[in-house]
Amino acid sequence: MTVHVAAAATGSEQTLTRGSTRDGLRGFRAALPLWLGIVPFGVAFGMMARSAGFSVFEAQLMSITVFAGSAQLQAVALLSAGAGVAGIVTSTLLINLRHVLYGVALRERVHLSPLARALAAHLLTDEAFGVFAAAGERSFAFLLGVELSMFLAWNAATLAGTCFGRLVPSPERYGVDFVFPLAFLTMLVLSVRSRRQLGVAALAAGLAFACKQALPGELTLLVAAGTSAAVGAALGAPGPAPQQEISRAPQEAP
Amino acid sequence: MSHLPLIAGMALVTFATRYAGFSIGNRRSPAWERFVELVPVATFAAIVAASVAGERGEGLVRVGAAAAAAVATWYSRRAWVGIIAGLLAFALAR
Repeated sequence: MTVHVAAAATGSEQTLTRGSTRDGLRGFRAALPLWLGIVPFGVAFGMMARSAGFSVFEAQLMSITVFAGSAQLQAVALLSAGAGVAGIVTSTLLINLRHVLYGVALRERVHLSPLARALAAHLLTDEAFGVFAAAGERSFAFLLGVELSMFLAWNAATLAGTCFGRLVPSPERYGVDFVFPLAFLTMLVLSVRSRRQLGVAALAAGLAFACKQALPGELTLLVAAGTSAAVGAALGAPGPAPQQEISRAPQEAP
Repeated sequence: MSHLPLIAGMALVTFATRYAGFSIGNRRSPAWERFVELVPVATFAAIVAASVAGERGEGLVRVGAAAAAAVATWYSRRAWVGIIAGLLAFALAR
């Protein structure tokens, strides 16, 4: 069932949608290719958590309430190395700071009630943001579908890892960690539509490469992405003029 | 030893960072809107640059496979085609 909410924006009627069940299912399916990268690391987290002394319940509770793969993996590694709660929580804050940018971008793109905002925030991950932004969608239902797809994959994999993890070899040995940069590269290719956006992407990549040598990993993304987006914004409008638009490959024949 | 305090602390700060972005005031300046529009491509590029080379000394192979993935995505306009192409190129070149 589609719900349309009419809203006034800059003096003209603008239709915003909460979206439909169909939008939610489309969002769920759109995130399926990323399961290939999510599942092995969810299993790895479950296995590492058990090794670090977590019960099956505690490991699952972390995946449900924190739902942040990088932070969770880092947390169990730090715990195994003897780090305290305060240090691990601080590290979690730093590694997740980039999510502030995601919320800023999403707020402008989709109308959210306070409850929907809280739900969307809890389930927000790099992958969910990437799929939603690349798809150019504007409904909460689609966003929720993407987020729930990632949530289901991560939590199912965590459970598998805590119960059967000893049977699974290290994901890095098989290059499964390569899926993440590949997934974001495809989203980048599909999102760039102007020379200005291409320039911002190139600047962000250069800054990330440079920052990686000097900054902790959790700050690299925030500094590189925030700085390059700010530079691009300061230099003028990002929309393509007809002569500046990057030509796109012809659509696949049906 | 219970890990519940650790889990609670991590959940709190993670939710706070995610919710903070949604709560930043509704700015409508042209520069702010341009910034918001550019955040996705900037973020995607930063993530790729920071992680494409990996940590196992396979940087050149991975960059080459990533190039194959980019070309496949460009022509197919399908993310899953690019991911599969990149993984195949990586497996063949390893």
